[in-house]
Amino acid sequence: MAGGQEAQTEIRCFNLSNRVFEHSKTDGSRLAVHAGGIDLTYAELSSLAQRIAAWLTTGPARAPGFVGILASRSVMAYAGVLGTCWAGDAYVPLNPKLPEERLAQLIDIIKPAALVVDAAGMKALTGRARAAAPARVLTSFDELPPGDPGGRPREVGAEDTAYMIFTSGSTGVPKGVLVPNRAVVHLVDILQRIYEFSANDRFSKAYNLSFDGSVHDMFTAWNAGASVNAVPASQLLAPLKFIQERALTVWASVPSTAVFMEQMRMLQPGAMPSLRITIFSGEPLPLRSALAWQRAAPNSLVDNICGHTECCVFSILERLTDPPHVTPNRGLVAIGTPLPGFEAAVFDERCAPLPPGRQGELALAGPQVAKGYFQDPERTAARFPVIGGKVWYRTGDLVYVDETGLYHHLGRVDNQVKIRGHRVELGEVEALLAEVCGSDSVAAVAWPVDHGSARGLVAFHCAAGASAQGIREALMKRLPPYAVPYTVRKLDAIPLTENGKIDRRTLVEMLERETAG
Amino acid sequence: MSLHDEVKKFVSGLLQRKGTFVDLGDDTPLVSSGLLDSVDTIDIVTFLESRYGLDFGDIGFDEDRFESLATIVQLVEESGKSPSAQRD
Repeated sequence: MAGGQEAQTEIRCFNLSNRVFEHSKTDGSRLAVHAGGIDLTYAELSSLAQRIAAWLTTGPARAPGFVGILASRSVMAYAGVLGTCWAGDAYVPLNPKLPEERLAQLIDIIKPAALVVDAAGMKALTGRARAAAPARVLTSFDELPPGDPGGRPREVGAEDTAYMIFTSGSTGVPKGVLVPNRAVVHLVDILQRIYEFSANDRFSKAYNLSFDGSVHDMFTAWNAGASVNAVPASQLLAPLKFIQERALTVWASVPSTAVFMEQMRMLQPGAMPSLRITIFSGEPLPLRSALAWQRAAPNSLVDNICGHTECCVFSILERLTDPPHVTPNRGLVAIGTPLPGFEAAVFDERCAPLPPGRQGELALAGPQVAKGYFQDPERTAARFPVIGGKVWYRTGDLVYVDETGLYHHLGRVDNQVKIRGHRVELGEVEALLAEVCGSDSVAAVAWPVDHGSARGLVAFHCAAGASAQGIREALMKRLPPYAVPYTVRKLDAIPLTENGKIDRRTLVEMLERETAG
Repeated sequence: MSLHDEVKKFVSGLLQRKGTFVDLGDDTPLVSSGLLDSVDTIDIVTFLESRYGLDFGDIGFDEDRFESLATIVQLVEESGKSPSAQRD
């Protein structure tokens, strides 16, 4: 019987809300969440999560399903995530900034058992999106049943889905990445070993829930008994005051934050003495900004971690050293070496590994690799091939390994671009652009690109009757804000390559010439 | 030109560069409407710093302050840096 009990304990460990539950018993009065001016202790957060779980599981028994979290940077958002995990369901972040059409499309795809919605989410849940929503919608903690003091997180399996995060899909339909509990447990475990987080740490929460960096922010902090401090949306671009006022010790964001703060001359030497760990991820890290950040945060490690939603947040790490390891001719910090548990390789087009020095596609294997794409076995098979008995994820990143074993990032093997850390498939934008213009003679490019990160998109079309403003307004209804082209240009014809594909290089050269001239 | 007119001219120029032509009122929402994105606000910051001598390292950056012409003008006024002092 003892063996059986052990197995039970082990299974229960995979529930991501379990650590919060444990901390609520031992350090219940410690701060767990600071969001929108509200503080929640571990005891309060655990109680809310338990009540949300009770609310999710009332009524006839059902199989574990999806719960949409239409909330951002609020206590409701984090309690909703945790309550979903507690109930054994999988959470699906839905950004309240999404336009109605896009939100309705996602809800139709997910068919969630319930939605957890905060004030910002309520504003987004209108018209078609409201009509697509399930009957069970939580908008206030007042609607919750009272807590059961003896309640504890439901047992879940290692392979059960913890969350699904949507990313841009090249055909115009977003794809949902299914991430299992074992991937998150592994991530949290290795980060704890690397950084030795403690209950005294104060984490930033800069990433939106729909960005998988937020998985790190929440679950590594809660694993350590530390606090998660949601950066108000209005201060995201240059959070100097927030870091100082909250005396944050752990900062995690896209490198754009450092780039912008440097542009605003906010990275004065010693400006952020409280930081002890900084993790940049989501896009290439310019050396210049990394060094400026290091001077402003002299007590902090500055780490560049490469990651993919399909490999649970983080996979390859490079620590800023003196002298730094730089990717030649690009002014970027190298992406470094795989985290413990990961196996990395550089693949050619046929998924055969290439020797060091050769450029190819980065592929990753290990316990953090996701289960695949929701309802898309074809794309899952293509991106997650089984080779030598192992599931690999083909990242689409163009990389090489240097003679010292460091990985360097050179760009993409496809048409995915990064806009302030957000993945955008140019094909997705072009598919919508073609629909709006009523013509396939359209193109989108990322421009200008500085150190591997794009300022935004420029769209091109040939439709005589369409106005730039009309096209932008139509796209705003369908795309997340960062993917809406900031400029729309009319051309006589879209330049094509010999193979009949859009000649993006010519388009970019045209934009470069105009700026120069 | 008054502070208000200078800021209006700069923001209108930003919008035109994006191919957007709107009748820019004092309270026209700029950021929440998607007319301007966060990178555009950096351009406004740079303009305010160079033209009026504002220091965002001291003031702190809050995107809400860039929501409309009125809030941007108020930001400059509150900083105590009057445009006349900076007149070239």
